[in-house]
Amino acid sequence: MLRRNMTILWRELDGEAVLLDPNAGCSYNLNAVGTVIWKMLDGTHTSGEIASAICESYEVEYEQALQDVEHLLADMRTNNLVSEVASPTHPVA
Amino acid sequence: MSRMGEISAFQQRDSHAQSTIADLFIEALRQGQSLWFRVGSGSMLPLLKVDAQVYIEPAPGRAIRVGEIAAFETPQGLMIHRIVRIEHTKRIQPTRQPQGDGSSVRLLQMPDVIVRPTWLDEHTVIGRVVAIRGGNRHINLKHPIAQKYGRVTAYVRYRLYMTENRLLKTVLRACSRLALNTGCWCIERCCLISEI
Repeated sequence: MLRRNMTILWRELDGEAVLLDPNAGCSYNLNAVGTVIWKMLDGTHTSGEIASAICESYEVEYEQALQDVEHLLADMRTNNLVSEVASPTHPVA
Repeated sequence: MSRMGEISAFQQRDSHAQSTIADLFIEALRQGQSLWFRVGSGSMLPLLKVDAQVYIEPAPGRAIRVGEIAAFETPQGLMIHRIVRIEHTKRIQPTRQPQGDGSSVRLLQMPDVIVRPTWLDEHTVIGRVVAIRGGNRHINLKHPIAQKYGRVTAYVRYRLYMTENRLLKTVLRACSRLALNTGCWCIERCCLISEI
């Protein structure tokens, strides 16, 4: 699972997020759907869960939504905007 | 077909978004975070070229020295210019002040290309430029040569601003150009570092 990088500063502007990576001096725009995805990147949602949430708000097939989410997350990883969080493990009795 | 969720490099197409980015830079520095900032104008040529990146360290107005390039807040966003003069004002208080020393500091900022200075309140200053990167080169502005260059440049440019004598102004303008160009030449050769 992925989580927003803590060093990234961001603001929402008319439903679209503006991101700033101070370490790289780069800033980014996210469109409305990208912003929904960005807000769900708190380390507790899988790509599938994010895609399902997108399907509830937009008229799109799950497979298409999942593919788009995966693409966006790959872009975010490349730009160091997100980092991997270890999946929660359940204690064994 | 375009994808639903898309990320794009920030483009300065919208002044509202631009001011949001400026606010984020200021917020980062106010939170004590150092950052890289892209130079957007040629006001600090020849040292800071357009599109070069400068590394800004958070610093309060009182920590800035004459000659340093300060980062400060303006209604247009974050700006970086050289400090050419600092004045300390001691307020005379009729009663004892429980906090602070009752003094204030103001800083005179000036671009390197034009003699158009303005005074800054110390609280608008939020950082100082400590390094420059352009291509594969990193320049360390904390190097003694770079600091000397800053002080000399600030001194000459402040004199240039203050003098009203036309002849002296012409001489000082030439000295200012000479200091800026030779200083920049030296810095670009003597103050290189591998990386921040």
